[in-house]
Amino acid sequence: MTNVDVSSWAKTNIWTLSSGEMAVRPGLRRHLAPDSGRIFCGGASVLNQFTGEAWHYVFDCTSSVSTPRGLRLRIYDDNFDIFQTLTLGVNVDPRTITLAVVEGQILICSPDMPTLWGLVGSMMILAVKVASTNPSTTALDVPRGIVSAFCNRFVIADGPSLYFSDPIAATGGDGRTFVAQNQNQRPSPIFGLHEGAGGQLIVVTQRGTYGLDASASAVGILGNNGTAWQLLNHAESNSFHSSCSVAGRVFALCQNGYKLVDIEGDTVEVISDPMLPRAYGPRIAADDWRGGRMFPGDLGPVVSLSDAVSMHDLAAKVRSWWNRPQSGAAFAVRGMLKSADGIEFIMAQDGIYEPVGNYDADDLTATPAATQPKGVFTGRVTSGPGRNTTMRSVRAVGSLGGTGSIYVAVRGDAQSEVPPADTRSLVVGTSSWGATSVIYEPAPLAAVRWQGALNSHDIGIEIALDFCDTRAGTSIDVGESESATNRPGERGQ
Amino acid sequence: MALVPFSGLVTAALLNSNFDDARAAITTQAAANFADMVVLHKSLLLASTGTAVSDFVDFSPEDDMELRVLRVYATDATAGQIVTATLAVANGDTTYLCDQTISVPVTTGAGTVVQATADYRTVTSTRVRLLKGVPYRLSLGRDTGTIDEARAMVVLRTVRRRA
Repeated sequence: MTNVDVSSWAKTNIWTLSSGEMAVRPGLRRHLAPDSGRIFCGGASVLNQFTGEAWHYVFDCTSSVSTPRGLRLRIYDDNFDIFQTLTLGVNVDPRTITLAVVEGQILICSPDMPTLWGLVGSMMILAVKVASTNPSTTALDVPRGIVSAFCNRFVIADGPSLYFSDPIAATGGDGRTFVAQNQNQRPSPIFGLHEGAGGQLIVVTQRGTYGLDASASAVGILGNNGTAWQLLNHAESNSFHSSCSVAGRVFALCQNGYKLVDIEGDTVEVISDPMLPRAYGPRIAADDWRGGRMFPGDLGPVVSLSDAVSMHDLAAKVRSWWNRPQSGAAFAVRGMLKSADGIEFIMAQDGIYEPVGNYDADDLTATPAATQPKGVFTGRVTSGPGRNTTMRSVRAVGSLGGTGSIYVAVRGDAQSEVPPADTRSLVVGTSSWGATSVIYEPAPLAAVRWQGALNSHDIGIEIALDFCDTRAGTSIDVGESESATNRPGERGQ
Repeated sequence: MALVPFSGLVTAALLNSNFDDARAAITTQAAANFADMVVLHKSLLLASTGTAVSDFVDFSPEDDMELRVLRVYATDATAGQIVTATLAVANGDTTYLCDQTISVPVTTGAGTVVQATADYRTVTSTRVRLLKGVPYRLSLGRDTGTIDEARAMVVLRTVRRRA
């Protein structure tokens, strides 16, 4: 019997509890659905720096390509009550929506729509140029593109060009003032703009990632071709939303997954599932992940492609795919929102979801859904190529008992079992010595065993657990038997 | 149930009833949004409108507040006079009203009180929040002549944040 640690295996619908243990992901509860015939297609939340309120800037468009897309901005308050609806007159599903705030002024930019300007908590309007207070400069029309904040200025990237706004301070300045003197070009189209650690401006382009130190903003004219840019990384990006900033570090999608691009390095977070037979859900993989979308999460990068989303807890070193197999709906994520309390919402095309509670539901109803997600670990048990191994048993554990199953599949051969309820856990020193009425008793780990006889060198195993927030045991016992070593001539030797 | 005025012997039941009613009222107010208003009243709007201190009132919200309604009332012996209520930033910086013109005119009738309202609650139209700390100015103006009496009123609302 061999004990195998599965904590580093590929995961689906697995997450961490606040106490650090791995568990099936929390339920996804929908706070808001788009209007009929429409999908959410981008946006972000802003915390009002002066009042502490959260405002959600959410874009939606029609879901059908055969009808005018009718792009629309809706501003929601913290209770998801509509404050403003702004129809943009643009028939497009935008490639990206970016947003930046400086001193209470907000710019929302996309290469696919006119730039919007407003005050946090107030209405948004089309951004029209404002003359600079510097009389020796000429204001440009407000560019369109992608935007970031940088040292109390806005920066907009349009193709390979960068435009820096005049600085904004308590004493004045307008986020719509872009002058010809404050612009710069990078060698190739820009797909990501981020304010990195130390206030550095990080520019992700098709030919490498560049950094502009915050000290560059000390001069009156910023960004001209005398500015000292640094090439931080040679990674190549080729689509919008392919990079994000988490805790001041900038990650970008690459062919096999994603990596840090604010420094040179060869460490890649590989996010495709391993090539194994699957019994519990399809394998999630892509030939090139740069076609996905990437968003900053509180705990780590969030990557969306097709109908699943990769969630990463950098501190806990846990990364897992999340999907909603029970709903049958594509879980196409288009952004992340956050409440004033710091609660993160996942904005998918079909709704805004909060990861909370013990069941998936389309609305804030009190009735649990009939089915819940399975948390799945997928990995491989290796044996020497000269060995003749027969897999006989796999024992897996989860905090289930009496209801809900633990599933084990070996090369797709699936077995499941409902572990018996475990009432043995008494808490000594409480007011009650009863087995079922202790002050607090979390469901104890229970084990089930897969039994079979499977002779293979390529032992792919899946461990699955029912129900949201079910604690997962991160080790399994694997029983093997070995009749004899392979002889020459067998299996191609 | 309305509060019961005390008279004579005050019973414990009456005290409890009044307490419960008061608590219910507070709960209702807390659950709803907090509303405030600023009113400017002129008993005589002279031809020299805009130069008199009493033609306007400056105020600065203690919290960000949503502009809900701007209303103007007027009465004059002469019909056809136009009185306008305007909300602006005191120092003329249009940034703090998102470059929006916030005003509402009303035309007087002979000897009657007339009023007009601009509603800023429609989410597809002008939606402005007044920012705390910014001095705003509510003013009354007229086109010609003297107006007997005029009043401007702005209704504001804040979204009560969770404690």
